[in-house]
Amino acid sequence: MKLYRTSTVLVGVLFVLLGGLTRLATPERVYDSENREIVHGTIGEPLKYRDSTITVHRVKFAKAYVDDDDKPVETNGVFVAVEYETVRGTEDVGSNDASLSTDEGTEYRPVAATIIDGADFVEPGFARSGSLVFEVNSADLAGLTLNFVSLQFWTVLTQDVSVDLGVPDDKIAQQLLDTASPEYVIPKTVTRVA
Amino acid sequence: MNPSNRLLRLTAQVSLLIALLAVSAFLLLRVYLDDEETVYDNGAVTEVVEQGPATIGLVEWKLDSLQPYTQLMDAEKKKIDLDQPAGSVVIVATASVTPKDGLKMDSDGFICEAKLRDDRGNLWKSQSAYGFPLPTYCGDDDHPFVRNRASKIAQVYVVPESAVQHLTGIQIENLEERRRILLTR
Repeated sequence: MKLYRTSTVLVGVLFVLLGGLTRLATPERVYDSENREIVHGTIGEPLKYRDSTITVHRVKFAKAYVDDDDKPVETNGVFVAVEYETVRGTEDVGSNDASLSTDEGTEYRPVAATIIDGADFVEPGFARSGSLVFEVNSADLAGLTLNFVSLQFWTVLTQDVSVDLGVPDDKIAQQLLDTASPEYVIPKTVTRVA
Repeated sequence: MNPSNRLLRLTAQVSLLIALLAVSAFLLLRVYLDDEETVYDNGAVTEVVEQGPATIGLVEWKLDSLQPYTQLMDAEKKKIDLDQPAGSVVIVATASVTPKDGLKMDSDGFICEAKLRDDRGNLWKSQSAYGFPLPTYCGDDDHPFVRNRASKIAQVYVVPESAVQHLTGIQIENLEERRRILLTR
């Protein structure tokens, strides 16, 4: 016994294929990598990180940094200090790694003095200010970008934050180096009600 | 084509349709209904119990009180040091906790933790409050736990003032059982 006419089956298959095609044609979002959505932004802009936010308030260049009452730590390059604030939302934020990258592809990790090497989040409804210090090669500053990369083991969808620190070329980098302060004092982290 | 043959064909077509609809409905909803692990990982509360007692992971919990305070004092009437930003309040939950037979306990007691939950889904972790008259964890040498006997513990939370009206209760969870219980006031 013949259940369906061949044409009926073909029309059915066509509908299934069309359904698949519409999914391909109108993707809801385009991701930078298969499981990472990167939120790009600039200084002063509150950037969504899951349902929390990260704002980079200011960037300072210095020839040395001071932590607590210890002796200043000096460098032949330059210290780039990034002061940020996080506002914690409802969702669990997990942890993240901060790094600086440049146009040449160099990656820098924070100095150990700040102890926390990523954006620091507190309990829901609270905001926290913090600062991260990076030791950077002074000849390689163009395209300085701060990245917060979520740490996770599973390949489920996650989100990263990338902040342009406003050093488009070597000329501006040189200006920032010329005006670099002799010392940067690492501020104490402060928690407040958001 | 005779009528019986036609009926047979119609029946077969209808059954195929039902089978396909059932499979698609199953595939669509499986993630939400069937997978206990996904439901647990999404942070869903699986049971809501008023005050308790409720047993989870061989530990019985009963919520005795949930009170806001502006600050906490120790026995010598000195302020207990907590990270309390301006505009925040301290919430103290006291609970009776009973370790049941079969629970792994050592000289340090066992690990117990309750989070504070509000109706918007926010969760606060308990803080240690050194000097508080009640133990804030289940491994305190000065307050040893005895099997099958209820002991009181306190869980101390710091929350923004604006969250107080939203607070619903404390949440206890167990990964092995894939359960998450909300003990409400």
